[in-house]
Amino acid sequence: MKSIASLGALFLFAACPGERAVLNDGEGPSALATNDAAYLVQLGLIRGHLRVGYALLESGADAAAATHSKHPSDELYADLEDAFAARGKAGFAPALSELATAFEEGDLDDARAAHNAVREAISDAESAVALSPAKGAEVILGLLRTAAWEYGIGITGGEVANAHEYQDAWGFTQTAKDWAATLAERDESAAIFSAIQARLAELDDLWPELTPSEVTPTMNPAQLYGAAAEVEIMALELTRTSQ
Amino acid sequence: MRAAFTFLSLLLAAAPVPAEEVVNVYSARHYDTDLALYDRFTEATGVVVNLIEGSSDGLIERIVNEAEFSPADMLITVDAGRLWRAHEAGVFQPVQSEVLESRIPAHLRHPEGHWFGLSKRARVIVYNKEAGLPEGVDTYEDLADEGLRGRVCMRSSGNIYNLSLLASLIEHHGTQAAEEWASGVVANFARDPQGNDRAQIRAVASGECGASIANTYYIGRFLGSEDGEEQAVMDGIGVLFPNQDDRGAHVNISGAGVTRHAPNRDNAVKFLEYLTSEFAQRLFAEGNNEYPVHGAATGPIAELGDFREDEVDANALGANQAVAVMAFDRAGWK
Repeated sequence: MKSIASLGALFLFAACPGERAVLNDGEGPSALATNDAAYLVQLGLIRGHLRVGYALLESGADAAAATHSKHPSDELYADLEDAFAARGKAGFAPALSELATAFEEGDLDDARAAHNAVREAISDAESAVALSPAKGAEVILGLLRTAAWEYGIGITGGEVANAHEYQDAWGFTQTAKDWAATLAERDESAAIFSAIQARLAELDDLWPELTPSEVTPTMNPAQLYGAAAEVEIMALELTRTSQ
Repeated sequence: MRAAFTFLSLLLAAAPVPAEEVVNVYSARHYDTDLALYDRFTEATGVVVNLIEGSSDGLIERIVNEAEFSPADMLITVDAGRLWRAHEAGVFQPVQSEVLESRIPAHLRHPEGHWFGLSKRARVIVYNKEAGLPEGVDTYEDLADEGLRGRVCMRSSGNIYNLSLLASLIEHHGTQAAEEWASGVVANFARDPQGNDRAQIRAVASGECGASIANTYYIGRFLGSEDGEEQAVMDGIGVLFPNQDDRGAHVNISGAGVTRHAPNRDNAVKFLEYLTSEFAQRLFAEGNNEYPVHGAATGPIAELGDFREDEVDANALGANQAVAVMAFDRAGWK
């Protein structure tokens, strides 16, 4: 018998208090310097924003693409600076700045190139962490919980209340899927993460369009909360097998 | 022959692998003895217990958010008030079980089987042993007497144990009388409300206060402690089960219910019934120095002896909480 507490107390909360990695009671942004899962979740949120920004850019929604692409430097990046220093990483403020500049100048080719540069920089920042399967599960859970929270703001009372948050939820969920795919390639935990990957693939109906025009019956935030809970239960097997 | 073998092989390969039997438990209790208890259930039934831990309110909110997509089969939480809140939020479904109904007294379960008490704790009066039990103190009501001016310590009114106690007084005496009692206790405060039940016990032992109230499981922890300082605290206090000549001492519960959308409902009912077995009751109660809902007390709290308990319907403890909050507020109990 093992409880999720063994995966770390990071995800004992019912919902995310706003958009940032969910930390334990009393922990501030400085915990990102010591808590590897929270650090990777914060980087994952940045990835999620960029993912949405790039997809919108490719679909011709330049203004919305700019908003999402500039969000990380506006709100998420500052909390990571101590965390980069603690892990001997330089961070990627200049790359984010170039991305913002490209959008401000309306140079979309530069924006695409800057997107790629930021993603590479994030990969480098992520490489500072030796990721165990249990920690990987925490990262996926953190992203899903945040996605559920955002989706609940985006789709409320059968209406699209906030398209931006709805899109954020898509970006975070895609990032969670990427993590599941990466971890499923490892022999030590392939079965569990393949199952998680399959469960996450069932969530696509939540986003029939990237820019929603109407709410369909499948667009229910509870689906995302429920999927996160199922993933949490699947991940319990990781602590059982590690005993 | 070879063709038949191949066909059989294909059939076997295509046969569905039986899914592992599971029960998904969301629990606000965090005791090692509970884990041992769950392992034993798996050994006996083959049903794996998937345990998700969290705070009571957090888990209730989770189940509400997850709605029909929740994998939760059961919620275990502490305090009748929280069970009531969970029921009000539509977390539970009714369960009819002769096993549960025969083992759990009616006042400790929901009348339609939405939740069931699994262990009990009493809220008792503690007093400084050296100074002795304050004269005339025999009941909760006596803690409001003028003779105790400046001698009573209490934790905050927002604490759910105090809310449930006041909810019981509201049930017995009505809101106005309960509020007058709270005002009387406030007038007797030795200090502003602060700390948890342990802090009240320590303050009484040190003589900072003459009397307070605390849950029996805190006293059980002091009684069972091998720490010299904690043993000294225990030596410094006396314990009184209040209202033994009338309705009995206020009792609260840890309890559980099967969730509304439980995907493994039968296993959840089986697990709930198991938790009320003699073996499980002992471990479940001892894990937190509580009393079982049926059978005799074991562990350190057994030293406190038998007592008469208030058999007020535990549902009322939850239903009266909102009124209790307002009554405490008007009484000035911070």
